[in-house]
Amino acid sequence: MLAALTSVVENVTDLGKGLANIVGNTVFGAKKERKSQKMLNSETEDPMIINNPLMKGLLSLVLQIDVAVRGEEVSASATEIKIKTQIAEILLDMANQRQDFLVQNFLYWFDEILLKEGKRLFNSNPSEIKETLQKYINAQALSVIPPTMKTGIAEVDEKYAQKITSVNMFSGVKKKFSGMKSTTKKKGVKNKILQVTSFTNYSGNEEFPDLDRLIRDTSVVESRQKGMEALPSLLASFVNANNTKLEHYLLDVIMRSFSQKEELGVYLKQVDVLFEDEDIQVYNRIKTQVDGMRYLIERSEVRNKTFY
Amino acid sequence: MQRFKSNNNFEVMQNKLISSMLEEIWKIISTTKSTIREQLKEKCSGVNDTIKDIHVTTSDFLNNELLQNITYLLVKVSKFDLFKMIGKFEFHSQFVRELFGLLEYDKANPVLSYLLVTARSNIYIQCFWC
Repeated sequence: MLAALTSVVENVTDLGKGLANIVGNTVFGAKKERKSQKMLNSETEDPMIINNPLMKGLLSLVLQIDVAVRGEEVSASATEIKIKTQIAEILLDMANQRQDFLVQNFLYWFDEILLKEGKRLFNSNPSEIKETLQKYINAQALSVIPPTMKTGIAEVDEKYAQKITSVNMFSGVKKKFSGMKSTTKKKGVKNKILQVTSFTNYSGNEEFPDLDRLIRDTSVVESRQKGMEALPSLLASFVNANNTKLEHYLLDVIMRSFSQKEELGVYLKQVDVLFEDEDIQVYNRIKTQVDGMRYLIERSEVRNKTFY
Repeated sequence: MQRFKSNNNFEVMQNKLISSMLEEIWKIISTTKSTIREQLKEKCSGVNDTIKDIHVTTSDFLNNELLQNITYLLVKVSKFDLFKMIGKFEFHSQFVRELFGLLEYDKANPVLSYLLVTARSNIYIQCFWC
């Protein structure tokens, strides 16, 4: 039945094309024939043809018949697109949570440095503080930079796995923390700084993993889960997607997954550490209010979706 | 003290209820994924992957409003970080893995979905659909 209807639509479309040719010839003359054919093949080069009311009417008629015949199919794929868009939205939220963890981890790392060097830094001048922090960054910065996600292509992953280099993302952060309390007393760095080159969880809480590790089964040995990378799946879904919104979401997931370092740098520059009790109290009060507002908005969204 | 105890029990009960609800949701998603996989396997296992234009029709599993509502609910769950609140951190991984299976399945190109999964499982040991 659907095949029959589809062939009817195709016939109508052909008929529409034929009519369009006739209309094109009549209105614009025979020379414009090629142009009207181009337009029907979704080439929108000539605004005169697009704005012609006869052509507009004809095209919308063809479109309406097409939608009427394929209506059921369209609504079915709409549900599929919704499901996939929502999945992509969940993945984006996971990326947000990953970034929250990374920022938190960085602050814990910095806190650890302060605990170790705090007293000495308190009696140092700004250049010494800068020097000490620089040494820590050189020795341990890689331990707070997230590893790059895998592409799923063994050769590429092996090639780039070793080349982890320190990025200039800390330039803004250094400025932020360089204005710390200082005195004129000079002291050198006494303790040797421990070199850490792999990503380390300083927070003490459970690490929020990236997508590659989220999709792995923790109960199965990791070496048995080679090929469980997110990128091939995301790319396949992107290629198959025929909805602009879904495509945007999927691209966003891919881009965010592979730009974790850059994102972390941006967020760290925005971090504002509160030291004063009064500031913390004000922050907590505002946070509670914002959370309340968020809760209301989400609830009203669910209500709207359910009842209207 | 009694009041504290009852409040404490309420929280425990609430967590249990949410956990079991989420587990049920996980089962629905997981079953959908398994059913898609089985049907794809049944329809495509005899197909030679060099034939590009082969036509395979599978039931439209993703035209399922229940599943759509479930994923919508999961969006809300993740926005409020519910997994962390109820102390079920492993749910993140479980759900994401199942959802990736659904994301990979393409109704319009079931053969392509199948070939992708088969190619991956031929090269490697595990895949989302296994």
